[in-house]
Amino acid sequence: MAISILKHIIAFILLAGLQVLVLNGLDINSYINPQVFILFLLLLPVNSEIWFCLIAGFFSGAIVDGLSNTSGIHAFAGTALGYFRYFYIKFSLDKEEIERGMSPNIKNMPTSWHFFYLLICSLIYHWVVFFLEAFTFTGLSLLTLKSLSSAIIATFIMLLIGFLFSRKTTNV
Amino acid sequence: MRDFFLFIQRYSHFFLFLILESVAFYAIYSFNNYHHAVLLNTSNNVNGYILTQRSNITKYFTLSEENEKLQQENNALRKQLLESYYIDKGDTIRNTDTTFRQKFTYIPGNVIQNSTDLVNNYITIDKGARHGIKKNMGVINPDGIVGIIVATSENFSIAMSVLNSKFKVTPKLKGNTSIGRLVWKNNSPYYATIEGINKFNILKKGDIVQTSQYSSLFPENVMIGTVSEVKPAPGGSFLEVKVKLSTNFTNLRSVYIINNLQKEEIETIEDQIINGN
Repeated sequence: MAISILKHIIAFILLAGLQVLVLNGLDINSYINPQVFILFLLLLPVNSEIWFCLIAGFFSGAIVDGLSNTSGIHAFAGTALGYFRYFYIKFSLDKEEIERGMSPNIKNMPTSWHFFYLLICSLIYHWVVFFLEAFTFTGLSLLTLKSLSSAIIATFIMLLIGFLFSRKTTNV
Repeated sequence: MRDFFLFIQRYSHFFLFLILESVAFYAIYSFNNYHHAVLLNTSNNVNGYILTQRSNITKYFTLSEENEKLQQENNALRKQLLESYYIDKGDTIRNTDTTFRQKFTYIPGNVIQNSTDLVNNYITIDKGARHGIKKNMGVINPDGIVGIIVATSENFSIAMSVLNSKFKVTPKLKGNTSIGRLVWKNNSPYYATIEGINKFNILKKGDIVQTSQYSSLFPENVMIGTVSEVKPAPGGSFLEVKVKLSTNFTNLRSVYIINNLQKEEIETIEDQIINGN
């Protein structure tokens, strides 16, 4: 248990570092702005309590906010993602599967389920982030296109990270 | 009453959700207010230290380009040296130093954090209050304007870059007396827009855009960019001028922070007039 918590904390530090020090510095263009640190939130065990998901989402978002000058945007989106994730898992998995309480990573889950889980969650996250950033209802189609392109790139990076680390670690 | 507690208990997660979202929203809201820009976090020492370390590594990637820029700047400065002029008069009259009084001083700094793909982009600089940097100072680099300082800490400061929805500066078109305002409409890190120029003015592609004398933040004639497209603004008697920025914001390293020595004096007079009425 303690080891599992430690693993999640280390995963968060590495992902936040990757996000803030590498990906935020890339500045590819305004359409591709992938937020990859949410992988930490998505890989929490499937039987996590909802309050824990919300608080984890809030604080991981707040830390990334602090490092990239975006005040509460990621904290807001992180909390929303924590809430959404709970219902996504509840409606797409069986009760027995949830009770087993493993992490929904690429190794434990069917690849197609894992892919759509990452894609839909990151699409919602990017949409919320870009909407809060622009804070206007004009240009919603452009905003959706922007979040779609960023979410696809983010999903591929997250899958790549999943492939890289799925051999060595067993239950993270 | 018991039912009420049961209701709260049953939907406790939803209430937690609402509380966390409102805390986050409050942070966003107060951040949108310009005066709360102090919330900006990368100027604190821990974050600043981490970002400085990253910058120390990544600055090697653009070293040759930076060298070239410095060489060009040195070249331009060397041209202004007294040694580069010869005296063209029989009886020598030289300008003594009392004719010219220093108006602007420059503090060199390095960019350690920069973004171009957000709606409000900020730049973190590795010089702070200890080096004499204060809020509302202009930032330039050898190519042109970069931004305005919005927050400082002991060793670091944060500048709002031109690529920010709140950034405004009064530009001047070379050979043209009309002024407008330069804004950025979060489309591309290479272009900005000038609004409020009357339709009577004839502008053409390639016209030079510089800072005007109306700003106390920037010296006059600092390069902003060149006109790249002129079209009428929808529903009005104004033009919308697209400007190609001369500063490359995607690759920002060394910058200069401008200290206007007369700024306090100007502001005192302006305050007297505003408060006097």
